[in-house]
Amino acid sequence: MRICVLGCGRMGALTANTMCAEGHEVTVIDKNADAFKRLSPDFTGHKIVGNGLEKSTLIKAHLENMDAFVATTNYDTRNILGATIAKKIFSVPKVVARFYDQDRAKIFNAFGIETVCVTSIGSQMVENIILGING
Amino acid sequence: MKKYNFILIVGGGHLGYHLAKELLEKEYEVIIIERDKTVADAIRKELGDVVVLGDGTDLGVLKMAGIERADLVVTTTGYDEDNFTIALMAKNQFKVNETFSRLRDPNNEEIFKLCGISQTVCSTSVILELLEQSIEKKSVIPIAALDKGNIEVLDLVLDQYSPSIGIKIRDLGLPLGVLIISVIRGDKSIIPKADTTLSLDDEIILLIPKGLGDEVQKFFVVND
Repeated sequence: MRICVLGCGRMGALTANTMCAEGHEVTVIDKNADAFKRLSPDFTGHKIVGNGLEKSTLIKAHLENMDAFVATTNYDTRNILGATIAKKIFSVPKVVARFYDQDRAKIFNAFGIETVCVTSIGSQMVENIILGING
Repeated sequence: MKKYNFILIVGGGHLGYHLAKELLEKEYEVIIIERDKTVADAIRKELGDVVVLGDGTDLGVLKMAGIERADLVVTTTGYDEDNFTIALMAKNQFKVNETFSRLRDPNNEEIFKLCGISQTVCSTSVILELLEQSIEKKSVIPIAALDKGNIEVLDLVLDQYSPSIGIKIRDLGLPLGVLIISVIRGDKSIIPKADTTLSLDDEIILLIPKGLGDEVQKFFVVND
């Protein structure tokens, strides 16, 4: 699969490293070139420095050829706009956005964007551990 | 009768502040959401108790500010992604009748419109338009004065007023030494021949003897 990851923070880099190691063609976009230090030395994908909400950057990343787009910047709103552009303008088949706020995640889930709310997932796991439930 | 009963402005920067001030003078009911405490306090001092301190992209803050009874939400933050998120929440979650959104990047107009946020204002586009209107209408750009020899290169586009439209190159009566080296039509470049007929929107690249620029332009462009 060809996958574009927006934002090379901890989650973006981990997703990129893992999927690249599994043999997928990965392109990572980040505003800050330093962020690519989080990528593993074995990472063989493409790195693009630029604002991932700007059309010129997304064209450079060949978003129109992607099978999937993952928005993992530190801001829910950036992930919302990035994911919507990927879906509606570049017609990327699979679009996922990372959220911190679960209310926002719920709303945008209804808009046809796959949402992953790390806060809900994390708190659920904490609860499972405390109550001794095996997730 | 006022057009709006309650207007919610998200973002208390210069745009949000002045808008609120004008609207309050016209006796509209207005609330501003601003996330920076210093800015919020300053607005409160000037305009009174019309500020809600908080992040306007947060559902709870929007509710606290009364979005459920707003009939217009104006998003004026400095971030397109925040304005986009707020406008979408206003429309889809809270069924607000109308939204106006500020835009920074003119390219984002497309995605806002695709998502039903049709009322956008982009100051970049507005200034760009003003700028383009003020540029001389004659569409002639001398791309280079070649250093060696007395030859200049001209690049021009034929607009609807061009006297050369529909005329064969042979019949233009160009001065001696003027050479059309390329006609760009759509995305194709045509090697011009004597019987090539020029048409609207053609881009013409010419080599001309130095100093003949003004004279040659008259064949293709009407000065107003």
